[in-house]
Amino acid sequence: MSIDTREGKPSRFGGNLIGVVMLVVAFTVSLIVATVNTLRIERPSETVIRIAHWQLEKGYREAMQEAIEEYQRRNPGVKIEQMGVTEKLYNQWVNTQLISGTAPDLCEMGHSNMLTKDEYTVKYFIPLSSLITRPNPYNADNELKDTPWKETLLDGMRGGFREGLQEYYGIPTTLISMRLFVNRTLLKEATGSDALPKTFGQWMEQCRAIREYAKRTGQERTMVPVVSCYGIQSIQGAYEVPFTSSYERMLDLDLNGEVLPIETYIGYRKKQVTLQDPSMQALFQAMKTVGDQMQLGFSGMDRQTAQFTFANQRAAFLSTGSWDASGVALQAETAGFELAVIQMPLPAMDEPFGAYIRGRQNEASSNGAGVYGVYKNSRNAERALDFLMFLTSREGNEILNQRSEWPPLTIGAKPSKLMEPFQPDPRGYNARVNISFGPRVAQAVTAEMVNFYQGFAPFSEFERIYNEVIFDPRRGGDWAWWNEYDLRRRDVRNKERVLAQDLALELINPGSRDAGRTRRAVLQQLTRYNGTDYLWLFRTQREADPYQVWKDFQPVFP
Amino acid sequence: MSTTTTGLTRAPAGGPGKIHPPGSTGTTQAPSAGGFWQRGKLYIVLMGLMLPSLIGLLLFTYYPQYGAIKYSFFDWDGSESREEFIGWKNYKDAFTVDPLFWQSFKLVLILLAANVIKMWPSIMAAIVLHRLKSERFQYIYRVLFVVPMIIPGVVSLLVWKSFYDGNTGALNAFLNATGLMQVLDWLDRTMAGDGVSTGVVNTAFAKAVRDQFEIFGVHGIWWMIIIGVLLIIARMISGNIRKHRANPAAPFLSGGAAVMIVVALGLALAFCTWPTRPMNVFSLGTTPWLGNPNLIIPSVIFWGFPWVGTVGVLIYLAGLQNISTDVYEAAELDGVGSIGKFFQIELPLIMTQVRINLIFMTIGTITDYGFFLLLLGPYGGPGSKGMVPGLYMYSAAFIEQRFGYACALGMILFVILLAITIFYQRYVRVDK
Repeated sequence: MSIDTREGKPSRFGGNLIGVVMLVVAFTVSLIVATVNTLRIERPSETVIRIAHWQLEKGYREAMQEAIEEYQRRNPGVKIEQMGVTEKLYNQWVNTQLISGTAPDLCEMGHSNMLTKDEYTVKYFIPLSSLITRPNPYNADNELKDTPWKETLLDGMRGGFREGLQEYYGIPTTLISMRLFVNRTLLKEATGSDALPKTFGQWMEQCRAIREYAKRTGQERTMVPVVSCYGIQSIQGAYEVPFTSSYERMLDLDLNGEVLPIETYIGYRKKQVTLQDPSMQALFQAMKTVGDQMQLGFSGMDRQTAQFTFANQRAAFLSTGSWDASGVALQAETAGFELAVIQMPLPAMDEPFGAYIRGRQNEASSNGAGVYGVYKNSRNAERALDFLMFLTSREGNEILNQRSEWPPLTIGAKPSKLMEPFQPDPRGYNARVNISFGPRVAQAVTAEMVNFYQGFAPFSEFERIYNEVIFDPRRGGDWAWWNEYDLRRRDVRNKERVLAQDLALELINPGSRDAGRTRRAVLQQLTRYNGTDYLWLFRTQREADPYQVWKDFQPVFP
Repeated sequence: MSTTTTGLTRAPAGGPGKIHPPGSTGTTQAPSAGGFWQRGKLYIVLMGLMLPSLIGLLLFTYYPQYGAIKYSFFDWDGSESREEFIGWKNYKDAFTVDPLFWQSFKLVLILLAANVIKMWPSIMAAIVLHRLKSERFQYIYRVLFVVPMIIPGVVSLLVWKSFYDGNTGALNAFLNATGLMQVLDWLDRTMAGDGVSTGVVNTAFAKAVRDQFEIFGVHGIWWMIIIGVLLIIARMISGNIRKHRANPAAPFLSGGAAVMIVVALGLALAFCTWPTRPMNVFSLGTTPWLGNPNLIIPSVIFWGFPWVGTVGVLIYLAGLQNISTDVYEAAELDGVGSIGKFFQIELPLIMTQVRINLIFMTIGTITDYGFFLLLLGPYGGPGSKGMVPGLYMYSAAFIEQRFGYACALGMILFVILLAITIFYQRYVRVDK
């Protein structure tokens, strides 16, 4: 109670009372809203499904809403609520919801350990392996009607597969790919032709012409040929396979068609691959050539600035992913320039670096994205899964991806016109050399390599630092190797949980066990048990342990 | 005059704000058994009222801290699968095998020194505001200082980031328009050489300062700074011991400290911080302030110019408004001028506020990572030049998935901060 000091009497309408009233009102309103929402969710006459994601890019929410409305039209009595949460908050938000038991029925998987780590996935999400082998009923009117659901997606549903658990825990709904956006209007103004570059040499030639044009028109300080939403790393990503896939035969020790970072490290130790190899040098020098066509000190440019620069016609080429396509297309329309989308041009045989190109990167092996998992505590898990079936049916996937201008994932689903260039290119190779092995080496590569590409340090400087870090026994390649091995050892517990679950299911309901999954899990246990695969690599590929990083190792074989 | 409320009595002379139990007047009275019981009941009620806050404090502030202490002794990757007690290993690793963590303190020391200087504009602004004769304008200015507080920090960060943009940033536009860019270009060529001249930092003397000035493996400039800081500490301690007597050693200690630090900073600025190769980034007029490794630290220091922090100004202003007008009138009678008033009245009398801001600034500088993360990414930008301990801790936890180790780094930071705070409390003197 407040004191009216002028009168010396207690005041009935003092500040404290107002505060109490506000508190009571706020509490009452919250209570009513919470009760109404709970009742709505629990209303027997209406099934409410909540779907949460962080895709706030232009068009996605509208597309999802369109798909939802179509589904609701077909399924009266079902209401689907879309919850778009900003990317930066999704982690905290979804963690809180999962722990408190109030998570949405469908959650986009990612950004949070609770959605990406196996031990949490097992705890909070429904395993889907047994459910995805049936045909998708929403494909009943097309040729996919008898095809198992997982086979109806371009990636075979790999995007939702958890290797560690040997189980599907999510359904992917879209594809993503990186491309080069071109301002054809500016290109024509600068070079006299709007022909798109077919080779790396042509691309660089056009970049030089744009530099000249900027100089001629007094825009030298504001115009650059190339900008990238994700730095030069995303551009380099498109060239690593073409330049370095030939190392596969030499470095792929487990013959799985990929060169893992540890295999690169082993090769680097044995000098099977060095930073001075002609093909590695060709890759670095090609990227330096691209870096020269970007803004001076481009590492300071973020995603928004890159898009803004391109939209304002102060750059002719923009490197970004399919998820930005609709936004960029709208900006191009507003600014009044013609937009084209192409794959990163490769050097031709008769051009510089062309001799080191093996072929294009194969995009067919890329996993689907926009993966949604079904929450274990969902009251309407079957209905939620049914909605995912609709979303990944040919029709549903077209609605979602055409409206949002994302590449569709379901076989036969037609992409929008804008998305045609984003469809995965199945030609080419998979393997690449990845010199970032372990977090500290990755830091050195990211932070130091960019200095070379920006022209602020010679390549020898990067090489010196890289060698210093990769051979540092405390945080370099050996440490990362030991750490990976240690992770494998600990991973055994998760595998045992999967196997125990299978055995329990078999005991309760004989014949229910997924024999294939059990076989795979047992095989993994045998080959990886206590990190035996990494131990085998160490014993066969590593001459000695000079730093004794493995001294604590006590092998325990099954 | 005493004001009676239900059950509580506010005593007139028992010290402002003292609350006495019902039945008590606040004067000395022998406590009766009933009074004791009633007082006990009141204390129980008061403790009960405090309980929710106390529980909240324990649950949301102290429990996570306890978790951080606990996990600093664990090999923990943030999940349940990897949680193993490893004793002091994380701490041992931080002190023995992790040079990057300690390297990140170099940047923090530079930023701390810069931030001490950056505190002055706020003090000056508060004094100017305080001395404004018109109360109306004083009010308007105060409001103007408060308004920026409602702008989210991320917005001002993005605005400043756009200032630094190489192609379209306001900073480059200003430098190009005023011709200062050419001055920077000239400075770059003069200091680092341009192929024709050697450059100041490549002279034999500069090389000697840079490369051969080492004692016990530590660079001489760091020794000079360490000695300077030790002299300052000695000055403060001796001043504290000899509080009521003249301190004959004080001028020598202060003078020695000043010479050591000024010479060290001068040598460092001239020969050690400037790159030995020309940057060649000024001639085009599109200087990449956040993209060039050599320009990251100057850009971070210049950030927020003219460094008039709104919260700081308001805190100083609150301190200044407590100064009695009698003091000013007496000073005027003694013929003290504006500068004299600042050094002899205002600055000594707002030292409590200065100390508070100093503590907040130090804590902020040592623990901050969000600013660097948003600005330069998890690796601290090109060459990791923007790697501070907080960011290092963040990357240990969220990039390397070594949460236990990150907790240990956090505990080390906590101990360092505690030591600095105690030092400030003890030796940043407040003379009233």
